[in-house]
Amino acid sequence: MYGLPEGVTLTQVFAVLIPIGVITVALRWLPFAFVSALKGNQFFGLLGRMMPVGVMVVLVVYTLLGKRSAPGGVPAALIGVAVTLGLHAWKRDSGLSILGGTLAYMGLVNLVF
Amino acid sequence: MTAEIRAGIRDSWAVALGLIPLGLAFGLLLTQMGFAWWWAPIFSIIIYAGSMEFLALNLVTAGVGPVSAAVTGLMVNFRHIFYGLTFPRDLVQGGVGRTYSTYALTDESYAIASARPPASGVRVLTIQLFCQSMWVLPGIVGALAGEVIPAGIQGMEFALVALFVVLAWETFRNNRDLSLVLIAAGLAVVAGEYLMIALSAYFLLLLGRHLSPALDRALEWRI
Repeated sequence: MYGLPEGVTLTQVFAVLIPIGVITVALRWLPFAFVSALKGNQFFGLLGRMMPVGVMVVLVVYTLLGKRSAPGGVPAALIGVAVTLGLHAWKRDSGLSILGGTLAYMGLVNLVF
Repeated sequence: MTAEIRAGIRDSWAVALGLIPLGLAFGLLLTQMGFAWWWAPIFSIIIYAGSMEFLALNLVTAGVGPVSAAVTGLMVNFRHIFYGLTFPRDLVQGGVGRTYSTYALTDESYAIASARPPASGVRVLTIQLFCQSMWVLPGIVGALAGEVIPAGIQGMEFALVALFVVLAWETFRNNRDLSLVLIAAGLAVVAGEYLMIALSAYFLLLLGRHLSPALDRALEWRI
């Protein structure tokens, strides 16, 4: 009725979308309200340098482990990651790397495993 | 005014072109997961942050609660807290314009405004509105396409893994400290499906490195 996947309720969707939406806008607004407190703050500087790469690596592993029950499991996903990394090291074109890695993975799960 | 709008679109063009394939992929994935096409613009308007929207699809189907969602959003989008320090929002006149400018302060609009500092508020808003259109409209197109494509094809959702691989690579280039990669990967493997635990533990580790310069030096491994 609400155009949702089976087993997903409307409450479940908004329980994810609204908190994330509010937090995201708050993060974008904070520096305008507290410029002086944030500028030059050492801990914020450290977070700015060290947080992005770690968060992205956590997300890579988290989404990769999500492939455990898929056909081909984690090995197929690791091959997909290797193709993505290889393409990115070669051309450094984000669109190409994502497309190539995804197609390689799709080929594996649909045709090989 | 028209000249400023045209200049804003010209400044944004290259970056906006890069948003189109990702927007298409997001829409496609959304309908392949079983959402109706019109959920694509709802996702992209409530959470206007590309990679977080992809992740939100996973969080929704995994059934996580609001606190987990908020912590994940905080960690994944934390980088946005730095953008406002230099973004020229002051050029924008009026409360509505400024509110929109804050809401739409994405990686892309920040990057464009940093590379080509806008001369007027009209240009700032043009950049932001153009970027959002180039994200939301392809999302709708991709979602409609996904409703026609048979659902038997598997593996399209791997685009999310590939997206984070690329983002990890790009963020690593800004800070080539291998210890961050290894520690984050280790924490994520241990935490498994509990994303929030991995992210919180990583944050605590960074707090430890801040409080103890000795720990920071011991861990640092630059390549």
